Amino acid sequence: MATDARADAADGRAWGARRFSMLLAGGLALIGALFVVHLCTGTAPLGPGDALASLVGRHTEELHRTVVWELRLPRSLIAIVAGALLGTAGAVLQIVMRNSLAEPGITGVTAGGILVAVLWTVGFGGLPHPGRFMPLVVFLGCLSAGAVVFALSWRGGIHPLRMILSGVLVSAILASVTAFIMLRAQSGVGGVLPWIIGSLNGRVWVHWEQLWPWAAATLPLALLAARPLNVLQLGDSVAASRGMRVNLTRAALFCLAALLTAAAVSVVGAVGFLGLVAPHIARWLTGEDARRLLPVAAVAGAALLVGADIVSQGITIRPPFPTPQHRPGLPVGAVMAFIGAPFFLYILLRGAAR
Amino acid sequence: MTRDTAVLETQAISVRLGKSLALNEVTLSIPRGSVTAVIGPNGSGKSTLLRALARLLRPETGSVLLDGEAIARMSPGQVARQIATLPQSPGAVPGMTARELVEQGRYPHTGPLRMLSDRDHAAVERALELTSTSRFRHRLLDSLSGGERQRVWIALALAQEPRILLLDEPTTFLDINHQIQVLNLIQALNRERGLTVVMALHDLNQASQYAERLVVLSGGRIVEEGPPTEVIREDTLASVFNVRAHISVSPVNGALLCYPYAAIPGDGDDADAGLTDPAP
Repeated sequence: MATDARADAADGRAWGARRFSMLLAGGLALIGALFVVHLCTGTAPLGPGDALASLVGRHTEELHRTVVWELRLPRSLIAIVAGALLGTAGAVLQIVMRNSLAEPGITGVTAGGILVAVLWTVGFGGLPHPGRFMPLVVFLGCLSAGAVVFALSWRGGIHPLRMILSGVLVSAILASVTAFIMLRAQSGVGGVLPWIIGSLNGRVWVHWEQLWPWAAATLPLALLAARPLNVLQLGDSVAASRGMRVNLTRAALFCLAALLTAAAVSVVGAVGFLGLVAPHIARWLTGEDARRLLPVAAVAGAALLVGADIVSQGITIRPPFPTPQHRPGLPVGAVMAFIGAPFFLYILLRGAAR
Repeated sequence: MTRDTAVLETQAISVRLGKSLALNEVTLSIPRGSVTAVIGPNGSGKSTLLRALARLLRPETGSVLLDGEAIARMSPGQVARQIATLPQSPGAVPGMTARELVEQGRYPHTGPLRMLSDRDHAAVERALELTSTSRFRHRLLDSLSGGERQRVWIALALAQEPRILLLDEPTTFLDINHQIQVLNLIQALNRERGLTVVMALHDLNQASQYAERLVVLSGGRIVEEGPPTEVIREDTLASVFNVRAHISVSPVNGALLCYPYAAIPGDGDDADAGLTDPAP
């Protein structure tokens, strides 16, 4: 339409549908590029050619094929999907809570998952394959904690401030119990540290199999929630005047965000700041219309987690004492916090906290 | 007034907010296609009455009828397809464009999950045109002036395609020019499209000029009701607003004008209730 084009041209801040598709395409291309770099990264670096050839199964060394297919591909896929889940959860929560500093941990889900991970390690660490059931156990812990926060926030409706306070308080209590157990147990809890920081080390197809069904169920649902989220952004009073059952909607969206978070945390652990940073990047790029904000937050989250994991694998832990051949990479959560914390500070200083 | 012309009516509704009774047995009938202004000092129950009419709060006793049917038995969506409400000074949503905001008015028609159809887009465009906001449909809300933004909010209500428009002080915080623009728009919507309008107003002269019926609330009760020529009286202003005022006839359109010149001392701490624009 000619009038639309003129209006778009007249106002540089307008975001037409075309710009949005271009932005989304650019984001997906970025994820694609990071995906290839991610496949090449690791203890045995591969060239992009080798990595891609191994991926499609063209005459390559068996070792390359194994490394790419058994170790790196699942790790890449998990990074992409978990990042998208956390980015989306953050975007949903920032709108539902009417607070641009809300992040997935505010549902209590993360702290619950961590506590259960520690309990599982201390209590059942002697089992033959303690790590095998970890994701499932953590997932259940996540959901229980989310249910507690939900129950505490519900008084015939969910008030955003009460929900934030419940989430923060429940998380604090759970974290202190976690700390207490870890201090008591001392030895034998080292294995749980990557969960607390958030890590992709050693994530293989088993983990992917737990992740993808939840992602396939919740991500499309979250993208569909864009319309109620938009109406909710206008304030409870305006939303109610548009015929929305505000309390019910807010409760449902909280549960959705808790599920998104639980699915990610149960596989990669408590990666902090991602769910805070990704929605803000998306907001800068697209504005606040949830129909665009959510997909872009998902893409930004995915790109950030894959990118951070590439960085984390480049930085290996060099303990001050001699170690055998095994040198694990820095947990991705540590890199995320290194990027995320200064960003968080930047938002605060800019006064963007509404 | 005959019952069958009433599109919206209340039957002895009482609403309690906290401990106090915000509305006390209010019985009111809104004729189809009319413009009604609700006036009264601060805290007299104007906003509460509008919220009760729109089913946004449930009266303790009594009922609200839409076309003779109890509104409490309808779903929020069913009501929102017929009644559009704008709260007093709805908050700013900085990162949305005017058109994006107006699209939210389609919510009662699309429901939570359906995307906008051609029909929805047509309704949005019509609402933008009616409020003369098409020009800046792609501008962000926080780049608009107060008057432009208020027109966009009214466009949101119109995109809802309601039969009844409930507005809570639509002119507050606007300069005089924008106040007149918004009121003229509301008047045109009523005259040309037959929209029934109920609005809470602070400015008595605007109420007298733009409404064919006035409802005077005081302490949660209706104390006067009728055409402006019957309601705007020196004794009403004294008893309800605690002001002494001079009443005259507008040389422009024959509407009654009031010029308050003294606050009546006593229990009235609301002596300044909105009469800030004395007529020349």
